[in-house]
Amino acid sequence: MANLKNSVWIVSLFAVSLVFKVLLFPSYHSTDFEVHRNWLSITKNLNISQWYFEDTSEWTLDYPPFFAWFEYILSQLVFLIDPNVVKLENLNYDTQSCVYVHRSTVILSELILFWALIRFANIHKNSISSIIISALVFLSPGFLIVDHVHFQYNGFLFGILIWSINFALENKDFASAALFAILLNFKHIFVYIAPAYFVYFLSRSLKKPTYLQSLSYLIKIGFCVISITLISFGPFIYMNQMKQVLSRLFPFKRGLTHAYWAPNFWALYTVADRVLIFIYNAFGKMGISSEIASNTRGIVGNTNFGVLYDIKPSWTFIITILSQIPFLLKLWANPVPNTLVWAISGCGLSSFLFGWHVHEKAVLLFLIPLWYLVSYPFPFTSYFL
Amino acid sequence: MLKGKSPRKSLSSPKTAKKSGQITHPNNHSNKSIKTKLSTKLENPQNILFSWFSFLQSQNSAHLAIIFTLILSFYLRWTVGLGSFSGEKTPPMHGDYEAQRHWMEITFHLPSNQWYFYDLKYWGLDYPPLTAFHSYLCGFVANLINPKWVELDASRGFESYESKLFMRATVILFDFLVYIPGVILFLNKYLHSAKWTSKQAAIFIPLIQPALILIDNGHFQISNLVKIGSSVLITSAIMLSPWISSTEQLYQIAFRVFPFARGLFEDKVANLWCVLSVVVKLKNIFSVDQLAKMAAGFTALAFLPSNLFMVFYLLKTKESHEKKVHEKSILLAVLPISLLFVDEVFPCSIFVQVSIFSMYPLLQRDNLELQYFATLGMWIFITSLFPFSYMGSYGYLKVITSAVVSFFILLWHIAFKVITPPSNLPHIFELSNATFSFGVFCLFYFYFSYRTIQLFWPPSTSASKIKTN
Repeated sequence: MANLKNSVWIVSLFAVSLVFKVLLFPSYHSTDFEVHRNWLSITKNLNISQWYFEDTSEWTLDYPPFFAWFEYILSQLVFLIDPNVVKLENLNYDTQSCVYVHRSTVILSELILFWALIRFANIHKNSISSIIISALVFLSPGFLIVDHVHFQYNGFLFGILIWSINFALENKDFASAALFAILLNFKHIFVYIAPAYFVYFLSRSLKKPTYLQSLSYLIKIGFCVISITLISFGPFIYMNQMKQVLSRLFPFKRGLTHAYWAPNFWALYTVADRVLIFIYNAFGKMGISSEIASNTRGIVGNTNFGVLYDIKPSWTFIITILSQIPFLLKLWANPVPNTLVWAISGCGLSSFLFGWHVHEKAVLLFLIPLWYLVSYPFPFTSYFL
Repeated sequence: MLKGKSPRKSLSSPKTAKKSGQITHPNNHSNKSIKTKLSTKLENPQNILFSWFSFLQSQNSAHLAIIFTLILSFYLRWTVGLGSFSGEKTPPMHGDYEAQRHWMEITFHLPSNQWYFYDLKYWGLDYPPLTAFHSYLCGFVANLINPKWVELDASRGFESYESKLFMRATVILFDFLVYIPGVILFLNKYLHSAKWTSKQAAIFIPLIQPALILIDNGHFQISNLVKIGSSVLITSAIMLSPWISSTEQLYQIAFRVFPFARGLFEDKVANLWCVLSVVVKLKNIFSVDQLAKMAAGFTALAFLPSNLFMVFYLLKTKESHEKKVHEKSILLAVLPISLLFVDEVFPCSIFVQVSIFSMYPLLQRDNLELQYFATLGMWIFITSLFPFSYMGSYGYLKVITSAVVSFFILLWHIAFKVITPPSNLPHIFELSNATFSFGVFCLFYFYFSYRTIQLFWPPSTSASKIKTN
């Protein structure tokens, strides 16, 4: 241990990141800014029964209920500072005060991530490498760009994921499972890494000495997960709105590729289709043209293919799960926390490569867990970052 | 340069000098006394900055230090540049940004004999020729990218995202071409025998020093920077010159010619500095350290005009509503001070703090409050804040000074936000700000005079200490 005191690195890391992030306030923000502003006003002004029905803005609420509650809490804060931000009809409202207030909430919510990282370093007895990993994650350009320029709350969400991993590292399995369930109810994209958690807990339960212990372990885990999900979705089940909620959460009407392609398998597939259309037309076989206009037209819509098969959502899930199997097998054989981190990262990568309607931002899903592995002696991990 | 380094190195460590019995410098003794005095102060203070560099050293990553410093200084410059600039969207005259853009326009389109005569009422060129040539260069590049940015007359008040990007980039580019190499060269020479961490900290401070960044990259100005940057370069060139090997003669000549070209148009600060150090160097009486100290001393002398300016400013705002922007003139003083950070940690910290504070009214008009608070906070944190401050090792006087200054600044900002000034005293806040800053600057003027005198005639105690050592 060098001359680096615990308090020194904690305070300075936070101070440095604060300066970095505050200075990004005036930078460009994407439509996600308006999306979240709209959600603030939905949760502030409407009754819970209308949250998933409201469609004044095209950016309807499409995150699970916990995130809506999170927006609800933020909207109470924002209302105190600038009431105009949380008006439903104030579409595309982005005055300087609105942007500054809204961006401050991102920094505020990142305290969860910060706390999780301090805890992570504590678990590793504040070794130099754990401190460096914490600093790298907290100052990661991914968060700087996606959260503090583009505008999202990934820092907060990954904070919960890291908390969950922290608990797994400490062998507090139930807390870990509960936190992961909470995370899923904040943003369901994390369902892509759920297989890793599922296999991890299942395999761990089977490693217990007696069947009774295995069973009670599984029941406890199941209780954690199910009760949290019930708290989240219970009100909507009670109001008989689940169909509407699910259609908002899983909009399969959106295309195979996002308006801005993520660099994944389907991007190559689409390119291959283009090339084939070109070849077909060149040989004058048939006229495939106007209908298959442009897949990069910037509007979220369906993707049709000219020559190759149209891809159905279910196929992408099957392919994703298949590509996750190697990681899961390894985890099944050896259900220890480090392998879990490996598998989470691997599952994130698989989903990025083969998932349905993947955003380019989803790269964080496997990138952030991968930071954990920097300190392990796998020579190639650093190349990804 | 490589040739020159070896004798200096042997000088720097007394042990090797004793062993070999070399005395390479006629004034070796007094040189050492200052060295020792400095080094007792330089023993890693409990400061976040020194901790960071010694951490890098302990991790065998010393080579990364300068890269981190450069990246950070680039990031700060670029992100402060995201903010608004002086005179944004305020026709018909706009502000300093428009002045610089306008100069690019006229220098590029007009023959040089018209530069100082063309429509002087609209931001007539009133900077020395080097700035004009610099504007010409920028105007030339701007014209290549998009002629609309610098079209003669038609482009007045032109503002677009791309042109702002270009203008910001030119500032940063010249920062990295002139100012930053100058600082690094100077400090490498000036602190050649200091501890590695101190040297790195000394380089770090002037590069991230917020007063400069806020004015150049926020408010928008290039010239002050070029001036000071080149004067820094000149000084370092002169200081380097005795050790530059013959193969680098050409390099040296380029630098030598530079001050003559510039000297004619430089203001007194830089002139005095350069001339004095040249004379002293020729006589070969003083060491490098002393020279720099003297330079700092005379810069301190030269504070006086800028302070008088501020007095005039006070009087003027009292009588009329004419607002002449003299806040920026403090930059002239701030820069040399920040070069002396390692020797004068505490004064430097407070001085820069107050000088940033004195620029607040200007920055507030430019809508750069966010950048102001962020960078001021960063400065306070890096250089002086609890729990990494010098409170343990430094006396009560400094603790109290620091507390009073910080408390006043805090109080002033709260009052500024909460209270609307009474109608008979509309400029009460600007006035109180300037008065307070002026008072602090005066104090520093005396302090630095005292330090300079002390360095010329070091007290006998330190000499006797050396002997016992």
